[in-house]
Amino acid sequence: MAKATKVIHKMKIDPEVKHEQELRELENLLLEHKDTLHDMFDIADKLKDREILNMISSALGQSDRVIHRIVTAIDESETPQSMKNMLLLFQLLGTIDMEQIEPIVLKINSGIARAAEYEHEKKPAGYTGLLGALKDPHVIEGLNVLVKIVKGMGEGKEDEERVEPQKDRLENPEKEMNEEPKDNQEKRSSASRKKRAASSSRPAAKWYALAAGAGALAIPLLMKGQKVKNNSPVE
Amino acid sequence: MFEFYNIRETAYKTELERGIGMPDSFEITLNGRKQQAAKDNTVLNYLKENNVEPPNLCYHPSLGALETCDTCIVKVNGEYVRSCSTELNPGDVVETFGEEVHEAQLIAMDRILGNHELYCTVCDFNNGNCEIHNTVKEMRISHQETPHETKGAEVMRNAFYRYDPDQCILCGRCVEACQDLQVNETLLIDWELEKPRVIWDNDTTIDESSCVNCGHCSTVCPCNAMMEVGMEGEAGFLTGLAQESFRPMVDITKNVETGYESLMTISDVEAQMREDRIEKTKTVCTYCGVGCSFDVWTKGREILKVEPQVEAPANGVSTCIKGKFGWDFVNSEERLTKPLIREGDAFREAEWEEALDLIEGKFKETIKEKGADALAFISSSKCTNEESYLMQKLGRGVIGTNNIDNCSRYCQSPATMGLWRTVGYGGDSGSITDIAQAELVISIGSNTAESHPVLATRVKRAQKLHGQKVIVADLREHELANRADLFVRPAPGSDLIWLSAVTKYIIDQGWHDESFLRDHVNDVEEYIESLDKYTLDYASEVTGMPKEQLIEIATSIHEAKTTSILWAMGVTQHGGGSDTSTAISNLLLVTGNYMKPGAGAYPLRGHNNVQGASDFGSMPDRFPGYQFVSDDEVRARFEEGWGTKIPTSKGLNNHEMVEAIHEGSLEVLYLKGEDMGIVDSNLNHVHSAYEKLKFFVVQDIFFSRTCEYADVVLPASPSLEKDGTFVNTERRFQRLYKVMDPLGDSKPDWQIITEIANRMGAGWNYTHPSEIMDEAASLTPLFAGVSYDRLEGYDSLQWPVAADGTDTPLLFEKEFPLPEGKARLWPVEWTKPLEFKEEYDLHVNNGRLLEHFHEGNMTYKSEGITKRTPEVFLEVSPDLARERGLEDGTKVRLTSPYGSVKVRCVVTDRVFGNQLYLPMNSNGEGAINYLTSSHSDKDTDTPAYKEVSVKMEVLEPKGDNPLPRINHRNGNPQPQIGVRVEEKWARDDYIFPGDLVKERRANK
Repeated sequence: MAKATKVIHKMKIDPEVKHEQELRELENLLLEHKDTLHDMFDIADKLKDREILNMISSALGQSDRVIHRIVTAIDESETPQSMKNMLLLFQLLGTIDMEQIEPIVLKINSGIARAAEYEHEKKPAGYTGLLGALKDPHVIEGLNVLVKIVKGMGEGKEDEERVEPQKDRLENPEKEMNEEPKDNQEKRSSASRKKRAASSSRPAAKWYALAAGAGALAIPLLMKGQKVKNNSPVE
Repeated sequence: MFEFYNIRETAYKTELERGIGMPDSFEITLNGRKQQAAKDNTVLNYLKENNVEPPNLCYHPSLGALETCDTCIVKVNGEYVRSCSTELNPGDVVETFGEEVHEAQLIAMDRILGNHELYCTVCDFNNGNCEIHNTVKEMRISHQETPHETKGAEVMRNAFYRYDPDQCILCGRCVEACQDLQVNETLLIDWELEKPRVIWDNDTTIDESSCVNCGHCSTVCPCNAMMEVGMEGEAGFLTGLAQESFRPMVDITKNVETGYESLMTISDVEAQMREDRIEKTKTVCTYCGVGCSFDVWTKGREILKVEPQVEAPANGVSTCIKGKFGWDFVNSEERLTKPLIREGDAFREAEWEEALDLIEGKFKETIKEKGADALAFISSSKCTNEESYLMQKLGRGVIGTNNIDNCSRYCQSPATMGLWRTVGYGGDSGSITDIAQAELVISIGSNTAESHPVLATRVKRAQKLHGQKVIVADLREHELANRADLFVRPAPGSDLIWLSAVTKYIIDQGWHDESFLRDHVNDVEEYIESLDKYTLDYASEVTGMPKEQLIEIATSIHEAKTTSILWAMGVTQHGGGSDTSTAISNLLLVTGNYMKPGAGAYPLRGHNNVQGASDFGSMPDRFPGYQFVSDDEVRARFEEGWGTKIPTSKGLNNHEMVEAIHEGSLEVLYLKGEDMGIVDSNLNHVHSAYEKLKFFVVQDIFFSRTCEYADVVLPASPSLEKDGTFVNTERRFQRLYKVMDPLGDSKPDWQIITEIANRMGAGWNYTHPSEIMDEAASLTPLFAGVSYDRLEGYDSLQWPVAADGTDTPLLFEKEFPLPEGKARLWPVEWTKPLEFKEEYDLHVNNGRLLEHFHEGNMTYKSEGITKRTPEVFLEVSPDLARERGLEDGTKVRLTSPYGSVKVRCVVTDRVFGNQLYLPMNSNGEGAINYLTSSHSDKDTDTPAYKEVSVKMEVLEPKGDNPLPRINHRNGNPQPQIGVRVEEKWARDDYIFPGDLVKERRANK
């Protein structure tokens, strides 16, 4: 004759027995991971010695406030721009071919060494001296390298730029629209892309190379002209 | 206009409805190459099949084309079109590549990014399945042209989900799902706003709207705009940031990023890391017989969300509030975690060893003193097939008694009886998809939208979009009745009369299917003769239905090529429940509505495994697979398989067990997973029986009302803590996988039964439920081919399942499992409902609520659900309210000859005249079964719960409304078809991307 009841007496757990049981479980766990724990304690000791554990503990204890303070500070400073620049620089580094750049770096080093050795003579340098220097095979070789660099600079690389402001994109929507999966790039190149590509196509490049070369050759003349002009008594 | 209509029709068809894979094909040109295409396909689906899928964000296979995102633009015959909504035609020239197409797609995608901020790494939705994230990656977008702008509206949220307008891309999936899949018609996009956004009803809060929290919107959302609150701050490693740090963190990320590639990479790495700690486990819902399956996302024991999958066979992406959000009970502090042993008038917690010792001793003692038949076993329709199998094996094979039953006795046995009599198998004729494709659906005594919410969505959708006709016969104007093309209200308990009259009228008109009757049905003449008395006049007089209504029903069946009839407790829980179920099947046979898709009988199973509990033999007269224990050949097979003797005589059913206890012949009861002490009828009678038991073992997850009478209570594990299988209302086997370990010392039922059996000397050595299934399948021809391997993941099988694994979605294809392979018409007589004295002047209808499962043992553990529906309430009609001076909140006492309840009123026009509706969501003083009697179905002993009359007494004229303002019943739905994308297209600021590209090209 069991009458309905809702009374339930919870099992009383002997604290000592429970403690004993938990200790045993812990002991087993420790023994199982003895080597790992030894290494971990070693690292922990060092972290403790250098106050790092205390710092982490305090930082975690105040994590919400700490994070808020940090992100607010970062957001309000130039740090995001720095980080962005850093990331961009990393990306740029990725585009450099060290095999190609090495001889140029060596040549620049050589040029810097020459410049360091060079001492200004008391008498002013005449353009005849400069023209004379053009006969020097090292100077000719140096100018050839410079011409190549100038030529490369003339090639269109806008589509590879990453530091493009949103505003520019808004004003020139067709540029964004022309980005597409690499595997379809050839098939799908847009009209504007063609336009840009055309600017870097071979005949145009030749024209730019010639112009750049002529410009480079004209530099000493212009410099001279400038100087003459600057020295003109009429002025 | 006509053309537009056609496009919309196409758009709203899902892949399934479209019938992909039809054999007829034609030639088209795809990217310059000629190839074959099947007819009735959209361009998008064709491109997907050919691995040239264009970007697409608003398209969802379960929703069809919405045409809001424009990202799937391609060129067909030189014109820009949205591939999702464009039908493929012979000779079409389709271009998916090319700068112009790509430009149009990019314009569309850029507009989307203007609506959605990419802060993936600190987004809880960044779990590898964010469709915006993935599309940005696939399109290799590095920057966006349109800056993200706020929509200037607050985040909307309730206890279950939230909507962040600033993340919403206005794809309209949520609206389509709400309007046309769930068909609750709450969500819409207000395209008139300067910044359009999703709104609820008339732009109110979620809680004050008609939202039923089914979760469709958050399931189909492609991003984090509509998201389950369980995910917030939990899914990601960095998403638990304090609110004030979130914005600066996002700004830093945006300022630092040098293009979306790096952002995508970092967030992909973070998403990958999440895979290590978030488990996604497939399970099957336990809240009704529809059998929804879905993935449960957990972090330890914490449930982050429920994620239904398109491939889920019964539900696809659909869920109801209980399946999507009702799992808090699993971690409830009220869970039983230790065995309880009674000592006098109290229980004490004990260890398993002691509890099992006690059970072993009492069982053995009773068998020795009184014989095995002094013990009885009640299985649960909420537990797995394997557990049902073991419970009956314990009773029959170990204890030696056939006293074994399950709680389908309380609901579905009459439906099964009606089908056994007429068509041989007691199961649904087809699948839920058949119900959806029926031309005519007749629902009788079924509150489908609340009791089987996901199944109801298929009917509502078919009616709304595809012209399905719906007839509802019920006492109460519930949701489906309100939506029906014809709603009829026969007098309580009179369904057999009108069903038979309609059948007779059809025969009299010569509308019966003569060839079907000739080829597939026996006993036709005898049956037709039995219909003589069911004239329209007689039916009209008894049921109160006008003759015109009866004729309209008959005409509708005659005119429809396919009719499916759904029925539930409004039919079965009567003195003549089996006969009425038989009358339904008779009507279907006469009209030839068996043996074809879209037609047949659909008794809607109430519990998740009400079908499986009986399929696996928890019945007093049948082994698994409905094989009779009295059949010597069958019994010999089981005896050989089990290595034990099995009693030959039929055992006691639930109802008979209660009487046997009162008589003193039954002394020990072992009951699992069933709160019989609240769900059985005539509770006072049942409770007094419990008090007479010599020994009572109850196994449950909570300390239920039944537990209060037990001698030993065993802590069991719910479905999320075990492996197993269920069979849903479609006869569909589905696997559930263990999501988490059992809580405390609780154990899965199959393990507990095994331990008890072994105490009794059984020597079972099951280590996994799959071994139990293998054994059951080896002894049962009905599901000989069922195995865990064949049910891997979302795979399923519908019985009968042949040994080679061939299953049977359409139950009757060539013949019926009866003599000569023919069905039989079974004459039935009307059983008059129980009559009450004049003083009991109000009829009490009763049943389920959408948001609570039965008595609410599980669903009241959800704070969100309980806040909306905190207690039981009594629906009274406006007429009765006026007559008795009732209003919302009035507390009344209802008294029947068997007991009384106290409950507060809600005045509503869902009920009529002197009819009341008392939901069953109470185990306290409002519990319906204090009013019900022991009167039962004459053929199955299923209690006649629906035959209750009471007198009413006002206790407190005024009080708080038991239905809070935030209950969805107070909402104001806004029906519309789809997302109304035409309104978007009509906006001044909208230009079709294809037109924009054309314009740009023209200007160059």
